[in-house]
Amino acid sequence: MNRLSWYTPGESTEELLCQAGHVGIYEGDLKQTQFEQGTASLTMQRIIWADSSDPDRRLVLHHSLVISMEKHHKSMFSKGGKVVVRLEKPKTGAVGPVNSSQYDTIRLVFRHGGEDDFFKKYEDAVRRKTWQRSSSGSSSSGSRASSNLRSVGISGIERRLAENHQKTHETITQAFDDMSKLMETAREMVAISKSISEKVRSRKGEISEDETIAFKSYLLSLGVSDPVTKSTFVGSDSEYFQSLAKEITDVLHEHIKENGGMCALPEVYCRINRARGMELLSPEDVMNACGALSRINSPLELHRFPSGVLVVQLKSASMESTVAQTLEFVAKLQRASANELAESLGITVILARERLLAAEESGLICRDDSIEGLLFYPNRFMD
Amino acid sequence: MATTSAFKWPWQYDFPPFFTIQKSLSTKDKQLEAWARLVIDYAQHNKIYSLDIAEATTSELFNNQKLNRRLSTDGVNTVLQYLEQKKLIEFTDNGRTRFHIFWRRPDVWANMIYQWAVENAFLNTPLTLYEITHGDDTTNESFHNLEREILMKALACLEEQRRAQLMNIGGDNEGVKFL
Repeated sequence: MNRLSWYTPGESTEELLCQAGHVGIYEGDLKQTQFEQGTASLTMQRIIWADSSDPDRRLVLHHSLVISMEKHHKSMFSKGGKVVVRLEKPKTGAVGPVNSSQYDTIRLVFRHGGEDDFFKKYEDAVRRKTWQRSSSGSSSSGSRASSNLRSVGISGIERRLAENHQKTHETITQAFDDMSKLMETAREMVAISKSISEKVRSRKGEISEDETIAFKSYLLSLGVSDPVTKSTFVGSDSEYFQSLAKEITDVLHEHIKENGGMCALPEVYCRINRARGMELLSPEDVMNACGALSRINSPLELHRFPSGVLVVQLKSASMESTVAQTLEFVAKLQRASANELAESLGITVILARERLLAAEESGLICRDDSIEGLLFYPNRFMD
Repeated sequence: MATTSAFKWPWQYDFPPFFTIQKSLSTKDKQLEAWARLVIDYAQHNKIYSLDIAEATTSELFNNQKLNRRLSTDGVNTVLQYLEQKKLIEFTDNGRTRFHIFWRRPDVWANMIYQWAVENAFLNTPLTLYEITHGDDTTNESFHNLEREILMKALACLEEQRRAQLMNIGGDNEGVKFL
């Protein structure tokens, strides 16, 4: 405690680096202190501690006395995180609250946290030893001399490099501080937008037009795609989807031509991603790209069966010709199931079934739904 | 009468899709048309005037054992609805479990009966209802064994046209006089 001195105004250049509230100063291992609670302010030269109950009661611990320091995290039993500072023998002449002490360490106890930041900056300030400079530069000529002195020789270069390094480090740290803050905020924003869009969806109509529009514009400006009105944006990235459509055409055209002129969308998705190997596409992008097929003059097109099954098919394989083909197959066998058609054409059973249903819809074949399964016959009712 | 000669099933009866109500609307229309004709023809051939739904569903009419196909209960209901719409059957109870099959419409029966009465000189002569449907004079007529309810409908038709007069209905000797 005898290293602490009463406060005297410091140099005019003194700059506040960090401040922490609810800090107590303890000596050595002692559990009690006169300086239970106050605000610790860190500058480049010293720590200034001001008592919370009496702000004029201020103590100073100069960095020049510091030998080393270590940080102790808050444990289960202690009151808070603390910084233990090992100190040199006291300078004579300073007036402090205690004149002698058996301990060479004091503890700064941070009851409300903040010790991490404080410790980092404290350590930094002690390492940089700026008080030496300012104390040697008491006169203006002296300061010029010292700056000259600093800029010459290997030590000068080294110091400048170190300073530059320090500056860069600080800039980067600051930048990433902002970044992490942004990330946190972004996560919140996404959560908020999700909850709001849930609300919008659940009480459609209860929210006025204006509010909905305002909300959507917020989401758009955030770059969050609006899950409520996604369909209205389908096709807006036309450039991208059109080039994807081109790629799909290149990859799948041969395959589709050889395999019944039709390919279900999941298979398209698998094949295109298998072909790409890396930089895989999302199912949604694939679907949008297939929608763009019609816009790029591709020999393929996206077709939706009445049941909702989506396929990419050859444009030349129009509905009439596939239906006619299906009828021909059924007529040849007299009766046919989806499995048989799938086997004969090399298409999936689902697609075969869709084809049969389409042919049934046009009244060319009719169904026989029994325990033997769903069979199709040429439609003799219409003869 | 003709019950001895076997009923000639239409070709549809041997066509498995006949026993599945079709999804395609135009096909379904054709199918129901065929079913309606089959039901009426079958009823006429076997002199069936009324049927119970449960009975019908299990009869050979809706079951082709050779093909191992049967029209489902839903299918039977669809067919009956179609028949009802065409006024070829009429449900006799609210639960819709029994129905009359009009393989001849009541007015057609009425004409046939009146024709028979004229030909056999029964005009202005009281006849009992039993005599008409079960009497010795009508064994060769198609309305022999006609159901009472259908007979009543036919006679009501004639009465409306003032060609018959019902007598003693509900009593012991129900009768009719053709005018």
